[in-house]
Amino acid sequence: MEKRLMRIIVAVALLLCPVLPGVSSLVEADAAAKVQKQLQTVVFKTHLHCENCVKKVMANISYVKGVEDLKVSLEKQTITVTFNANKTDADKIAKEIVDLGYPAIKVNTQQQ
Amino acid sequence: MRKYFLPISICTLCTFDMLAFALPQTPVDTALIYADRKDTLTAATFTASGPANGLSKFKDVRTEVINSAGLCKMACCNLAESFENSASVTVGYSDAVTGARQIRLLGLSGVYTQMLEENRPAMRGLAAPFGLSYVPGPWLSSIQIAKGSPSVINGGESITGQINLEYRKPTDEIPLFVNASIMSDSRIDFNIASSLQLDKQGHWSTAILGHVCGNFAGFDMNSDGILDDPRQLGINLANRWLYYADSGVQLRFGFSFLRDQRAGGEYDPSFNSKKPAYNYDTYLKGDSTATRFWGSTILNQSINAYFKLGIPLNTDNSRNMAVVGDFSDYFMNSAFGKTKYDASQTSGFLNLLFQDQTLQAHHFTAGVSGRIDHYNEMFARPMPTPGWKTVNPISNLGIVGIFGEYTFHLEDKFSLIAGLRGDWYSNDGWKAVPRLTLKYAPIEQIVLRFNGGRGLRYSSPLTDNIGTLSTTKTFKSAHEYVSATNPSPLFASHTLEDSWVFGGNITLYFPGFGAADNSYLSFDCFCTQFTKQLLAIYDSSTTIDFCNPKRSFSNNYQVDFFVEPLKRFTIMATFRYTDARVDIFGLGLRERPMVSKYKGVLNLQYATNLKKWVFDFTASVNGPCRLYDYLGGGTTPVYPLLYAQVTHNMKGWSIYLGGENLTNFTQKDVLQGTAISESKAQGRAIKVDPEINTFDASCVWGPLMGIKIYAGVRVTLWKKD
Repeated sequence: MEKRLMRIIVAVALLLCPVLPGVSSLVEADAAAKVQKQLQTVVFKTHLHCENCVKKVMANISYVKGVEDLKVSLEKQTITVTFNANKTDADKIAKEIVDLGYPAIKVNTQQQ
Repeated sequence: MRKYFLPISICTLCTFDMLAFALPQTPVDTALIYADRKDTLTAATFTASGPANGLSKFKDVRTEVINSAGLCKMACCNLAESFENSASVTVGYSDAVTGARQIRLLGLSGVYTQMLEENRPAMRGLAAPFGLSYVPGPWLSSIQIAKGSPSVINGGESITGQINLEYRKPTDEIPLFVNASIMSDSRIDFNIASSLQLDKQGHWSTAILGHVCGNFAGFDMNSDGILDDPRQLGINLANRWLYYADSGVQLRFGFSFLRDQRAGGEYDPSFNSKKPAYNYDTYLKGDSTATRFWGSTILNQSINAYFKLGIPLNTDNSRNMAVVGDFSDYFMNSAFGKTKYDASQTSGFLNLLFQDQTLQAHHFTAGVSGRIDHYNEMFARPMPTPGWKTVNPISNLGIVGIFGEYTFHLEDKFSLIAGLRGDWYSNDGWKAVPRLTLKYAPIEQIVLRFNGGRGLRYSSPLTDNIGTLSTTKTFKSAHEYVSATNPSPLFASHTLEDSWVFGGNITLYFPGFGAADNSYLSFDCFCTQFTKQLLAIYDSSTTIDFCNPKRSFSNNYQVDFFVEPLKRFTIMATFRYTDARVDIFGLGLRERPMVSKYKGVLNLQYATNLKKWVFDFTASVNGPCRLYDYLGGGTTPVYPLLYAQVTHNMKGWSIYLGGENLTNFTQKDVLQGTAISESKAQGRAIKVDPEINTFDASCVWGPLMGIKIYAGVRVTLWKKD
């Protein structure tokens, strides 16, 4: 049983050997990209009626290119988006929100 | 502003739907309409912000909610699989042949749990054994499991609780949703859903739902000579409509169609691919020179149509009435070895409700309801006395009744729901069904619940115990063989089963504990006591006895714990202990066989920011069950099950890869009976003789298949402005 387990571990290690340098370079590249990120946060005033609207915004804006963080408040009627300015801008995000059927009035932008 | 009119009107309707989730004691149709109440938005917000699986804080009856995120934690190809990470509900196979899944709630068979589809009773009678497999998981938006004695509004059939299914809504702003998945056992699932809003004013909307699934290859992982899962091809179609008038009148109606064909049992080992080799006609002829393979074939077909009409009676919609109607036709054509069972069930249901919520603290609901079930069954099976037994019962079971329910709410502190039904049962006369629910929250962090009442249901002996058909044992009725002096056996009639259930729950919330404010610890205790029940007793090696036990009860205790220790990392742990006993005449009070004494479930979920990657891990430990006497008593072993899934979400689509039963545990010796003789065994892989009346393929307590790997994709197209 132990021998079998050892064989499996060795086989997995051998399989991973050629992949690991690639993975480590990817991690390094990712770290470098993070350093270069120009994060900005924008707050949009909107009109959401229910939790389904929140769900719709979350399901769509979360995956817009360059979006790093998203907070949707039903209570405050705001959509707060943190994005990488190298990849997108507030106007593009606003257009995405409007395309979903909700107004997006920019009320605040912060550089991070 | 006109631009945003449609989304707002859709949201309004969605909010009504959510209100229905939040108030299980309230019928959907009346609640949904009555719109512009202050609590509506609050209720909706809470519903969506809880854990993917968890206890609802706000419901009066102890209710576990599995929302759409919870349904995505596992493969969840169908409803039965959706309960794998719940300790409240235990899922198992009815037998080793048909693939029928049965659930247990409070230690009792799933037939004692009232299934509701958006608060309409469903999956009754003939539909019960396979019904769970016929609800595609991707069609659902949430499931609510209410334990104990819920509202009287949907009839008195609930004994251990209610499971309500909420489907994708016509008002969902998703014109196209597609889900396709494949499993290593060759199971393929394809689902499509489309919600369309047909006019700018939001008056008309519709949802079209489609599902195709199949098992196209055979496996015999435990080498017992029969297929672990039957070959299967199923198709489901549904179309649901919503009309919402400016006056507040709301009409919902829909249709659905189902066809499912499956064949299981022995395969011919001389072929490379394992195909079911059973043929009823060949098997019946009994040609001793030919190899005769045992097995089963099942064809289930059904159609269903329903409507719900809600009419507000005053301007703020706090007084309203609703009419709910449902019609279904179900056909089952099946053969198991030499046994033939063909049956049809035509059912109609009508519910007329009036609801008054004009006073904030006092709500009243009253109504009348009627149900008719027309069964036409043909059952033929070899019996030692008087040889073949063919019964062709035609039953008309009618229930007509009136009901009333009073709800008192003292803000969020205290609520009381007292309900009473008076129903006339066509075979049994008048019966009263009282039910009471109390909820008390002395402080915000503690919720106490008490719940109790009566439940009554007509049994459907052969389909309630579909596993009996996967045996060749002789059927007895109340300890006697079917004969001229015992011509109307219990298995061919519908006993009105009668029970009482009482229970309580305490839930403690720990707002400062963990990264979120929704940590809780919950204790439940529920006791179900039958005053009349129909049971199939499998303890003898050669007979199955359908009888009414002298005493039957099930006590259940459960602990649930939920915490989010780190941001986006959740832990859900739950443990259930069951003490189910039955007193069969002459045998005394004994542990109910094949009911696991305990089950523990641990679910860990971690999601990266914005849920781009979601990792799920579920482990369960399944306690021992008492084995049948003919197997020498004793108990089954304790076994673990592991599930894992990785989901990657992207804009508009997600992909997932997962594994089930990662410990590769399978039940050995599923088939019980007398060893097959050498002459009969030639050209067959089966080890026991299905022609001797000791054969039993229903003794299933664990998984039949080992590791299963699956992968799938979900594509969601959201509505744009």
